[in-house]
Amino acid sequence: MSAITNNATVEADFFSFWKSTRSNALQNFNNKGFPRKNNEPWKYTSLLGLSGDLLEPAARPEQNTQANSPINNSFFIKVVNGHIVIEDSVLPEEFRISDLEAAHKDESSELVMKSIFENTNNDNFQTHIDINTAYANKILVAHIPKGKCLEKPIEIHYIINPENEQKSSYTQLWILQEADSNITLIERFYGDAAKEKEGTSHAHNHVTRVQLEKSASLNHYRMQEAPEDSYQIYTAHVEMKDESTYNSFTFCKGAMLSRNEVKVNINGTKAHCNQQGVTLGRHKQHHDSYLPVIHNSPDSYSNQNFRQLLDGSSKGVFYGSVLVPKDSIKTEAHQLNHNLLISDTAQAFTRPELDIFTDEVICSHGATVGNLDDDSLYYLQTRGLSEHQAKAIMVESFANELIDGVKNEGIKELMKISLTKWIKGHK
Amino acid sequence: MLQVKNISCKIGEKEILNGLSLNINPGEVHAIMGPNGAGKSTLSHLLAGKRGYEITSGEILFKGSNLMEQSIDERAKAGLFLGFQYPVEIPGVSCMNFLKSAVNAVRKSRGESEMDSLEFLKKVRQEAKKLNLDDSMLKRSINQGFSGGEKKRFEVLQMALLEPKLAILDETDSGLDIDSLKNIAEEINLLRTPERSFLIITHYQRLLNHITPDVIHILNGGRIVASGGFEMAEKLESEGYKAFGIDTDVEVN
Repeated sequence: MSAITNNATVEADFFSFWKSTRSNALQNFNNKGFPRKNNEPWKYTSLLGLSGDLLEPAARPEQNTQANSPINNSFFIKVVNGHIVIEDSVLPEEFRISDLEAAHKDESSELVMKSIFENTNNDNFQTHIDINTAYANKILVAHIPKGKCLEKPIEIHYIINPENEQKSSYTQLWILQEADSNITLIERFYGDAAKEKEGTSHAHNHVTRVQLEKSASLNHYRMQEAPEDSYQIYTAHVEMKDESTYNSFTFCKGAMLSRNEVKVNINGTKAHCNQQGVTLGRHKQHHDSYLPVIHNSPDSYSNQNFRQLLDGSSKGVFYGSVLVPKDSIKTEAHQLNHNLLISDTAQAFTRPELDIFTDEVICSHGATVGNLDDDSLYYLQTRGLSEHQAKAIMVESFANELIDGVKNEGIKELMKISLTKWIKGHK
Repeated sequence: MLQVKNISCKIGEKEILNGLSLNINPGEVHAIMGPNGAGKSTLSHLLAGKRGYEITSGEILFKGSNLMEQSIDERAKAGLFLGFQYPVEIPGVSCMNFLKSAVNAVRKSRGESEMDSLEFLKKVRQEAKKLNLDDSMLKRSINQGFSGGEKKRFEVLQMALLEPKLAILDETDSGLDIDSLKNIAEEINLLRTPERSFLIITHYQRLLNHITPDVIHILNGGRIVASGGFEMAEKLESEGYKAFGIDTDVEVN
């Protein structure tokens, strides 16, 4: 049974609801501003520098913006400064671009959006999402039918073209995967730094909402290589039903400040959530990963395994928060965060938080923060590797231990190339 | 090949080597024996270039150049190899990648072309087979999950691939069973050439039964107190260090 037909008896009035939601969201943001550090999930990261004109939605550039080549055989969606460039995109038929008007005309789109929003809306006090809701005019909506397996990955490129304007991109991607469907989604973030103006060039605020019905499976890759003078605020909400699978891998390297917030609600037994990621920090970059997972159903599985490589005066935050409420017996949850500090001035904040309110669970959590091991460096050098080569081989291996597990060969290759470039930049 | 001239060194305030002299010619195999704390491992790490040692007097020449002016990797590229007493485990760095990087770094410094993957794989397999090292081990991280014997055999494999001019083997025989010891000794013997020298540091005669050294030195208190032929090892084995006037009940240094 489709997730939509469940709601079909309810009058489809998402149009007026969404309109008022957007209006309220703007008001809410204007009243409260971005979350402050007294809000625990924002303890390590401040968005106070993101203000004024910079918050205004950016225009679509007049000149064509060059995109990187998509991985072979991918569906390709090009988004520049928050604007979907439909003429350069190859959308799967299951994808639609919805705005209020389009959704209102198309009842099935409206029902899809209504279902996704209701299943993924737990945004109380999340004003960074409010501003996006208020300003994102078009939403990429995907409705993957029951049993549909898209063999080709869907690759979305969010490109920053600052054109000397300091503005923000606001984008939203909503996905409803019906039972037994299976897709691979690749989100890539990159672009140009501001050429003439100093300071922040651009901000990108993105929200992804995913609803996974019974036995649906999503492989989700993110490759964040935004210009190092930009803000990247990424928020995803994933709703998981029985036996669904969510696999994600985040490669985070760009931006002056990046926030990677992925909320997973496991509302189904035998659901399987596996989140991994590698973060690379240098100069004065600030990366923050906030990853709350709630096991609302018994007999489900989650795993978080993240690594941060931090150089220069960069800061990296890992805050994994896994909640196993009462009655969620037979939950299996694991968290692991390793941090390698390459310089004396880099900082790692690690918080693998596990709250368990029931018995009969298998849970583990751990974290390490360390420098490059002197004995290992010495050992490698006695074999003829220069100090630089020895460090590079250790740094590369630290990240590759996770990247090697990426199943999609195309994105794995891209990550490895990007990592090698990053290491070479440290000569 | 190697000339250690009256070298004294300390770590912090502690003097470890105290006027040590040693001369190894091309093709010679020297063995150093001595009680715990005599300075054997310090000598090997000092030669390899480990940081933290302060040389207070003397000099060391390797192939005529001042060794102390060379960085760790420059020494390795010049042909100095140290087989570690306690090989380091390096998670995440695969043995194969590491071996290839190391061999090519050394080859490049000698003006030789880098080996391609196929050529290299063939060479590694050939050498690993001699040491009874399984191919699958080489896909693992460096020394991770290796038994004591496997770690030592992996050290010898690295030596075989890097083709050094002088190989210092620091207690390569410790932790080995009899068969592994024989196996490693055979490989070392195969690597003996008129140009290649060895400095074997050991506690026991048993390795020296398989690799006949040209000279045996007894190290104590940071200096060589006696040098001679194979008969010294036999004397040491039967009579202990007391035969050389060394009281092992008293902690040295």
